[in-house]
Amino acid sequence: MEDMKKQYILLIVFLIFAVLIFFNNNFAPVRIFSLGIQSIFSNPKAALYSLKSGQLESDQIKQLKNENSDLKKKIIEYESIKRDNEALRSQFETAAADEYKIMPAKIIGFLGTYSAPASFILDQGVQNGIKSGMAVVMQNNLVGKINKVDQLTSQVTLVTDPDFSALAKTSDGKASGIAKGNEDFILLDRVSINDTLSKGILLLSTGDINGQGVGMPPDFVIGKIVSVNRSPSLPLQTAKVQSELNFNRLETVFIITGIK
Amino acid sequence: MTIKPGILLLIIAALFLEGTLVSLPLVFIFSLGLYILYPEEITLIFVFLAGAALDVMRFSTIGITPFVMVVCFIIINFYKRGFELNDYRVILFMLFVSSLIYASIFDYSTEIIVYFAIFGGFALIFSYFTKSELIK
Repeated sequence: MEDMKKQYILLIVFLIFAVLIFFNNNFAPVRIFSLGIQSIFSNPKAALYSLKSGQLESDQIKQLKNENSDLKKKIIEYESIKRDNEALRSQFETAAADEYKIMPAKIIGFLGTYSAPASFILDQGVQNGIKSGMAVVMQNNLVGKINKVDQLTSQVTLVTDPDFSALAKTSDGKASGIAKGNEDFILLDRVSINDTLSKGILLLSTGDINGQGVGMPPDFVIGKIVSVNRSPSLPLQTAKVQSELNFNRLETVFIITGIK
Repeated sequence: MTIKPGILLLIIAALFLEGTLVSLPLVFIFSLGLYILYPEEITLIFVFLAGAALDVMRFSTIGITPFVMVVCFIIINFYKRGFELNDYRVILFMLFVSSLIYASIFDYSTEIIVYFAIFGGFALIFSYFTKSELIK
């Protein structure tokens, strides 16, 4: 009985301590702890994550993995570097590289489900000049928006996450509305019934950049319209949009940090 | 011989695996299991720190996971007062239910088949260890 009482007192103390930390996340020791955890876990988690996307990337690697475990490690490392190089090369060849300052970031983790992640954790943070609201892209495709930033890491809300929303327009310029994440697809909402929406048309970001060059750049591909929901009796129409990206295969993404 | 160091190592490994290779609340499951088996001060400190580290990596407000864990521990203690918590099947059932609730609140995968598979595996391991008297 005495032990039980002692146990309860201890649990209450820890509970109060958790509440105090919860309401004082900017308290210096909490920040130091946070920084320490980020530095310890960042690199191993990036390596583990690249292993996951590496597994999905190539059937050949899968086959080789079964044949030889030592060779498997070397191949995954090689493929990871190769993909990074390809991603960097292709990103710097796109128009985005001419107009915007971009910073490569490695994905070190995800939130949400394995097959449909809601957000990524990136290995770039405040110390690298990352700010909340910055757009994250892959070639000409929009990956999402920076939602939270810590000292060494940041969280990007993917275009498919229900928390994501951005002004959008169709590539033919005949319709505009608001793109909202809807778990496994994107919903183009609030489109006037007089606008023309067609299946197969690309949906682009309209652009919303503030004075410091932070925000959503225009003309990045959000996805492709796969179906249109239109009723003549309603003033607005919607469309279902599918992202062109396979989020599971991404290892490196690019943060737009400003305008050149 | 106890399995305590093994569970501690599993929690550390889970910190690396969560959000990279799996989207299951492994830290929560192992922490609850550790506390049920070893309700000691050192367990509380370790689990508290692991929960806070998880919050940092998941961009949650730091303190929320330790808070939820401690609340779960208090509920477990209340349950212990009413009933004897020695049957590993009851422990696994409690872990199963609480981890599903935790997963749905904290944006983890909630595919029930995966949870059945995991806890089925745990049941086999537990039955082996209890027969071998490794769990006291």
